[in-house]
Amino acid sequence: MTGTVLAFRDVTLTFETEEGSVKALNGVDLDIPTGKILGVVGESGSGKSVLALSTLGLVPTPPGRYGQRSSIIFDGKDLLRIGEKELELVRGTGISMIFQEPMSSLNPVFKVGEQIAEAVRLRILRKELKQTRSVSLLESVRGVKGIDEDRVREEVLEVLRDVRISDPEDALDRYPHEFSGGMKQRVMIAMALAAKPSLLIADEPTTSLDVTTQAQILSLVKDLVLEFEVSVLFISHDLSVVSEVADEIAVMYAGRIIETNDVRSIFRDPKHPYTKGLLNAEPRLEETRKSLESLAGSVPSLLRIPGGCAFHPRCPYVFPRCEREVPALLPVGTSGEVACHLYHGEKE
Amino acid sequence: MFDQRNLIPPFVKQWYATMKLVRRQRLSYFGAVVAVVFVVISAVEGVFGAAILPYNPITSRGVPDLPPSILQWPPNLSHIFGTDPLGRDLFSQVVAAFPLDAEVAFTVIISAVLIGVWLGTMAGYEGGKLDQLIMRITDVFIAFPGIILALAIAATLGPSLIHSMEALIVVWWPKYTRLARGEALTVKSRPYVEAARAAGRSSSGIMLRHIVPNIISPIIIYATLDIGNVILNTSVLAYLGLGAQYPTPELGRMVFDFQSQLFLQPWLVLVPAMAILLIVLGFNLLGDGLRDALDPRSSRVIAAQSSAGQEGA
Amino acid sequence: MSDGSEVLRVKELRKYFDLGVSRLDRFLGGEKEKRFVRAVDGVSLTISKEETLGLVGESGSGKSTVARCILGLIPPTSGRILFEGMDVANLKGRQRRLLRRKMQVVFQDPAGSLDPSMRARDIIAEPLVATSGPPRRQVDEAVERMMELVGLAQEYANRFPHEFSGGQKQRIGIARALITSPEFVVLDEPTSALDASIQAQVLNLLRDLKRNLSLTSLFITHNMKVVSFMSDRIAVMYLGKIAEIGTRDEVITEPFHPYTKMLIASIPKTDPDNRFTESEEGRRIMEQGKEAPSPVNPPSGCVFHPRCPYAMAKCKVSEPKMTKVSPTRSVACYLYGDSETASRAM
Repeated sequence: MTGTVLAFRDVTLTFETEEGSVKALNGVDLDIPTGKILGVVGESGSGKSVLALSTLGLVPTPPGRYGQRSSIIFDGKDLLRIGEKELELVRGTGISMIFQEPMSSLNPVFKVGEQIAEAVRLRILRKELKQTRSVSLLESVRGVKGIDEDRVREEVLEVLRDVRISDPEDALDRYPHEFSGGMKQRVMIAMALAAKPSLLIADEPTTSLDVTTQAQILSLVKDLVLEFEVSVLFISHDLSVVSEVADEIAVMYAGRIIETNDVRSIFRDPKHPYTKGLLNAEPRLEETRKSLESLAGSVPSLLRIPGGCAFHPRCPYVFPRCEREVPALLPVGTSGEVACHLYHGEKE
Repeated sequence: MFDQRNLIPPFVKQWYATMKLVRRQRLSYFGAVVAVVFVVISAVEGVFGAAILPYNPITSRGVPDLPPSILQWPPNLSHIFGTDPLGRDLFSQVVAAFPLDAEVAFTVIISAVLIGVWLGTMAGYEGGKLDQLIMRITDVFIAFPGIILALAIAATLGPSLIHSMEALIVVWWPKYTRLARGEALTVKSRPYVEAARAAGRSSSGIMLRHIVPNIISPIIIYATLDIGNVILNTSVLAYLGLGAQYPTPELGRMVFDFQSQLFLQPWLVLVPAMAILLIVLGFNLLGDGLRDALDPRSSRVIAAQSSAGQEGA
Repeated sequence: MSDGSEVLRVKELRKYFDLGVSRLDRFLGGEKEKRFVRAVDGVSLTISKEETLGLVGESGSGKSTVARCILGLIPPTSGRILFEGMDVANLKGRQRRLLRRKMQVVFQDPAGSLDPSMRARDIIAEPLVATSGPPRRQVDEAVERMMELVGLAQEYANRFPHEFSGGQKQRIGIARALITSPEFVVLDEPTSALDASIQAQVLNLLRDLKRNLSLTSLFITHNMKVVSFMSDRIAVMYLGKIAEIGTRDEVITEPFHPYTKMLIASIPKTDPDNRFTESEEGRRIMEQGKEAPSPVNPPSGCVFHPRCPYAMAKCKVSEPKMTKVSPTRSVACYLYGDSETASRAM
């Protein structure tokens, strides 16, 4: 399946704070391919989380401000330009999101089954009954007219089974605090998928989990992508985690995408010096005699992004052009793109 | 990335940033101005004495029963607020009363803070029986309605400004003890306290060097808010005859002295009363502004958080 | 390498946290037994001079609690901790504080472990001045030396924590831990809160310091790759107990305990051709579906048995003891121990 489910075009996001302008996103161009998992990797300050929040209008504006030419195209619409009502229709049934801390995303006073049922009802309402509204509070308690509650319950059980929760009947009636971290994360995934979105955005979903639990969730995500035919935007600061699940990878630095490629090419043949640095920074399990090659310096504060290529103060290959000119994200080689003067144009 | 300004301790910088935010809102700015004016006048008077006043508030004998200049035609600018039945300038009396209230307010607050921080830190950090003991005593004091307790103490000690001040200190310290204890409990569980223990600090060392400096900020802000309350209570005690005695000018007592004249020469009561109102209001508005400025839910904090992200580098 | 003398010996350490019985339960006539969190449940280990022991485990394994007991920050429920032959529990007050000079710690949270109201130089000097008062000049020189050692520019000495980046904050923490030239350092997840590229810098620094200063240390982490990089020997913890101990090479290249195998299999390998989600062994382990039980109600017998692909009947009933399978290696698992099955599955 080719095609793009969501496209970021020149997305710029600026926050005006007392200390100056914070450029959280600085001209992001990115395509999320249909039916694939795209991993976005970046350290703190790279803008990866804000990028995800931007798709669903979850960034407060004020104090944030998107650039004039910024656009996020989904299903033929620009998500940055449509109104709140239309955006609500996208949330859940178009794009779903899961977060790092499952505890704060699940409502503690409602049973888990109830929360998933809400997502199911919403989907049926919108996709089958073609009604473009939300489920009212009364309806979530009493049921929606035209929707069979038995069917809702069946679907909730099914999606709980899909996320491999061992006793779905029992889980339905439990509250979030009764679950462990990994189980809560599965519930969140269940909620996100119950609405059968075209795009699932996962923002550091396994960062707060133990490594064994993380492994289970990652393999679950891979299976679900195939089963549900959903595209995934998987965000993480951990390159190795992303390497386990993603088909393609985009690397972010200081609010821009600096390299994209399919996952094998990124690891076998990284182009951008930052990507190389990230790869080398991880200790390998077997090879431990050498010191780790570390990048000098640290991630710049978004208040004072260096001019030209934002990475140039730390780059071992820097030359004068890097200080003056921001490198554009351009294709290189047979696959992939990189934003680096080493690969495009004169080096001087 | 680091500029030279950063040699200033964090709580000073915090103060400065907070004040900037307070300035933004009109009302709290107004409150701040009033409070500052009050303090400045009191301080200057404290240094130079009655000499700075247009008239001696106690002895000058001008024209008695003169209304404030705005009520006269032609306006008599030599007595802006008029004079009392003995011919003394009301403006001078009111301004002369400022330093007394300022002195009482600051002494009470500072004493309460010192006692409160000392007891509260010990209670919060040590916990156990000491905590129980201190808190139960504190509870007993808090259980009394403040003004009544103050009344009782001041009356027992005898009417005078100093005694009313002592009475207010007794009423005020428990609040700060509770506040300090709560803050100490929060700070106690922070990793750097554990790090200090691992470094070998004794309990008293930790309390002095780590707990107190980190709880002082919210307490000072609370204290600023509180100044208005102390002044109000001082005025009440004075009104009831337990503060500065005649002829020393004191706003609350002046209200009492002149209340019989309320319908004949209303300015005699209204001017001191309005002065009390303005000063207390000023400090309260300032306090509100401070509180809002530190509210973690304001939108500027969200923006700051988005740009900071996960702690790294 | 080391002269083999023991710096630290921990014997059957246990730490239970009392959850008490809820008043309501008691009133309703329900639970009458007290509930405990068995954070540490019978841990024994030794660390020799100039050796780094890596203690690895996931959340709930009890590794941080072990560290705090060793440092004397919390009192153990039972067991003994011998530092240079001396029983740590016998020391009180001033003596205990003097011990601090010999046994230091680097904490996980770089921001939280530095007092925001103190300048960097005072934070670094604290272990030196907290228990005695050497002359000002000596202290200043020591601080200077430490800052240089960890790669912090001298001009930052008067700055406050909030003006430093995360990596720099951690360097301050390391300088603080080393200023008294301690004989033993506990590093409690020192790089977990840092970005990948900064983590590399700090890990390199720690390893250099370890070599140049011949440090003896206990390195605690949940990250197998990091523990493999830093340690000479590795101890794997699960639910308050040690699953296996061995040299770094032994444990990493040939894990014995099923939990260790599961841990290693779960590590994302940064090799897209070798994903655990696509490997046979990996999938089998992941299919388990169950998660770590809580330390309040640990399973009977061997605490790992509900998740163990090799569980036998015996495992549900009785707890396997730590068995020495080689001079450097011990495992607590019936697959290897208790005489009958010593050679099975090796």
